[in-house]
Amino acid sequence: MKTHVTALSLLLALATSARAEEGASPAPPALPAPPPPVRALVVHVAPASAPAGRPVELEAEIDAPFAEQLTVRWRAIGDSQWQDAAFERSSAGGWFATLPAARMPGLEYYIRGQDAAGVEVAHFASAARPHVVRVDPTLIDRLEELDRERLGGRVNQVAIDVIGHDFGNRYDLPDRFLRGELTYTHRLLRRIHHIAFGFGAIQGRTPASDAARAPSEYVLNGLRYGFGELRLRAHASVFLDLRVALGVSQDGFDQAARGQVIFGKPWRSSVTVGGEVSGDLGPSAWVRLQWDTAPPLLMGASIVRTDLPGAVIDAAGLYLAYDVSYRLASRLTVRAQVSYGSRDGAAHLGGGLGTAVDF
Amino acid sequence: MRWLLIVVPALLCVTVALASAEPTVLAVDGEDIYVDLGAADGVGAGSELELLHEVVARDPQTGAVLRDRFALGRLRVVKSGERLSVVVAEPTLAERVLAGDRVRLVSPKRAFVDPWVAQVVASRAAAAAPGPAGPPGPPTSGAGPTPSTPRTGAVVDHVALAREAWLDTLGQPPERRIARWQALIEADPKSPYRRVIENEIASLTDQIRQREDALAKARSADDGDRDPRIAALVAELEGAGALGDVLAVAPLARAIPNRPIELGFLVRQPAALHRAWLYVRPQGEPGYRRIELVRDGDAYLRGTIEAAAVKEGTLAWYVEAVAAGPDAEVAPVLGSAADPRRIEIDAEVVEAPIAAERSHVHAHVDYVDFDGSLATGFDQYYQAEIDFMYRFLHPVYAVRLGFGTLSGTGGPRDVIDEDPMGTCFDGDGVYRCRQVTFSYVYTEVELRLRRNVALMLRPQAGLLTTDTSGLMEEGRCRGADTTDCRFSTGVGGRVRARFGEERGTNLVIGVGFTDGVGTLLEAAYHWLPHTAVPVQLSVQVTDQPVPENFGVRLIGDVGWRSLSWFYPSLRISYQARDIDHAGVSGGFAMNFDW
Repeated sequence: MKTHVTALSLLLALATSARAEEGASPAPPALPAPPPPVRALVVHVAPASAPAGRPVELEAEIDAPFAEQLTVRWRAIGDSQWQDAAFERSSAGGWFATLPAARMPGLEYYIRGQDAAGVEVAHFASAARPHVVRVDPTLIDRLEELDRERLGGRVNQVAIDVIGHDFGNRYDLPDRFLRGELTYTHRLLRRIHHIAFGFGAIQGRTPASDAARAPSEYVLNGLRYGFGELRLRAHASVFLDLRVALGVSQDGFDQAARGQVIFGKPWRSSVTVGGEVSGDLGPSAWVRLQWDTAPPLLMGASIVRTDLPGAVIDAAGLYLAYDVSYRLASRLTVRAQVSYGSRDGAAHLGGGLGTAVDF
Repeated sequence: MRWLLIVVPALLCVTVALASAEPTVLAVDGEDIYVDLGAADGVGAGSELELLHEVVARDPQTGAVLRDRFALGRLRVVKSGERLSVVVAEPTLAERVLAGDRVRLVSPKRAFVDPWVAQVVASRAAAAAPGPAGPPGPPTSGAGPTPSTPRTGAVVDHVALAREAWLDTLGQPPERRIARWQALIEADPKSPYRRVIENEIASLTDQIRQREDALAKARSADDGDRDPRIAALVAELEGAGALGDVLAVAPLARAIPNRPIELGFLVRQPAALHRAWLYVRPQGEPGYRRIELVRDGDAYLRGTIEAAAVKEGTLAWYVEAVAAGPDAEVAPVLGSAADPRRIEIDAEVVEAPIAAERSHVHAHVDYVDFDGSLATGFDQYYQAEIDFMYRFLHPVYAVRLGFGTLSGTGGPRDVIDEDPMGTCFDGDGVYRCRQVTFSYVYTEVELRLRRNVALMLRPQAGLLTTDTSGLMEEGRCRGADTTDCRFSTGVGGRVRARFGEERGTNLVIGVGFTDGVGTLLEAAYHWLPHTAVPVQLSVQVTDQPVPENFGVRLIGDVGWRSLSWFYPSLRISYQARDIDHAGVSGGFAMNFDW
């Protein structure tokens, strides 16, 4: 086109020059100006947002579509390369272009045409200022992103915990338990926040009969079990843990179930209310308050009412536990616990140790 | 489709082979059934055929082969050629149709006229009486006008000339088609198709004019030409959903905070709008912010709501515009200040930094002596408590967990005071005092009713041991000697209300009760005469450690905060059940703030 214009200008210049030389010679007929090019028109309602994972459909009406090669140029936000999507005739009338499934944070596009001479025509937005179709993350998406950032991508954990408490009693008979658990946790960080599997053992001694009969001997109770656990994120700051355990106790096959609700985030300040019941070792219930205000320590205090290890001497086994966890390294955490409480008679001490490795 | 390429030639072969045979089903292709009957047989669209199934059986006695035909149902002709037809059957019958089945025409035979021949006849009639005619179609050789002989003596084959011209026009632009038809008329001015051809030329000329008009508008950059085109396109687009009278914008119901929102408005008549503004008001802001919309592309206005305005809550917005023209006024065109459009902005999702001074651990030991005899008396106790508290602020202001022990001796004031031996025996020689130990745990929830009003609710439970033996021996009821020892579960609770600032000056009024231990009514005044000196003055009314006579305690507790996270305090108390049954004692506390 530019060449044509230049040539035309040259011809006109030559003609003018010749006329000047010839003096009175008549002016040559003016060359007709080329008609302006035909331009397409594209109208559409630009989408402002799109759901993640679904193609973005652009519905348009186009006038003079033959005049230009019309394309939608798009790219995912963050990409550098533009890609083209052509408009196609819709069987329902009009035109449509389909942009591939959008992912967060969205995509940007503009509509351009190119005429026969190769001239680019902007119909909507531009490469310099494209239109953005947002793909807004859901609440769970955003929480997951936050969790992954917090965890540094380490979504697995192996933990070992051992706790025990000596309740004592007025008959000087042993009444204590020791519990150990090895847990493998995989964090999904979605509604199902984590899944876990593990093995555990409880071993304890407790008076054989209740206080009304002045017990004179004790029994050895225990449970060896495997368990599966789900942690559900019911709300940004409410978690629900559900655990089912199968194993064997001093009496044979036994099963146990545990559930707890965590108000707040388990890794921040929170309150936990939970309970557990084992067929042969009895029920337990607890309330735990955790606070994160003394970093790098994470502290907690729990009130635990328990029948472990299958005590019958009294149903009022209560202790207060105070625990501290400390992150030794980015992957390694250690925990310690001290407890104080009684079941029958004066209160006694207990404690626990644990460690967890994230990877 | 590929299958058809095979079937159709095959059909042609079969057609030839069966030309003289009975009508037969030639092939079945999906729902289409091909039969060898066509227009030449008086069959056309709408005709009905009967499907016949031939049964062949052998007579077991004579061995003769017996054949018979049974009508299975009717088929309907959907289209016909000269020799073949496509028929369809009801779905249940269609499944039973096989190639080779016989058919017979059951509807009356019909006569079909070659349309081209009919057109030629019509053309002849039109030559005598001019009138409109349809576009030319392909002339068919062997039918139509006979060749004429012009004056030169050469025989002119009108049909062949017309067919040749028609073929030349196929796929050509209108200008060339007109030229070709004009050339035919010049070459064969007496063509019997002349009237039809002239009509075609007129039609093509009209098409060219319409095309040129459309192109002229499409070339025009003038708003007056573009706006009607845009308006027409938008009207067609309206099928996709309701669009505004002036602007259309895609709905955006929700968005995440702190991310700019880009809006693209489709304008029905861009030339009619002079300027337009987007007004936005984040939740909590008193007024709207104004953003001028920028023209873009063919028919658009665009604007961006900056990230700072996209805040948690509801984002209200509307658009105002002013039309072109000297007298035009600004008017809302999408929503309005009074009735704005809304975008719900999600809550912020961030890992909040660790808040300082949210947790408090409090431990205290308090020795209470009501009769001034200290350890040798019968009305004193000690109470130790450790309390963990975290301030969540919302929706529960704070939660406390604690463990405590209350242990001591108590009994009727008169008996204690009047026993000259100081052994708590009454006039009948009955020991009336009791030694109790109550180990308990509790959880307390603090609700903030108003800025300066808080309500604290505490259920508590524990193991209560009561020794009524009067032996006053250390360790009794803890070991095997449990004579006169009672063990029970003590359940109780406490309710307190605080008026004022929790960490400033405040007044706490409360009441508590524990089964078997007693009742406690209290009022405590806390203030900071100096930032490093927290002071608490309390008055308590209680019958602890055993529910007998109420007494009053006056307590002063003074702390010294030299560290931001820890301060100890000392307390001194005076308590009395009457002016002769009184004592002074004290205690200490430790407080940790993180």
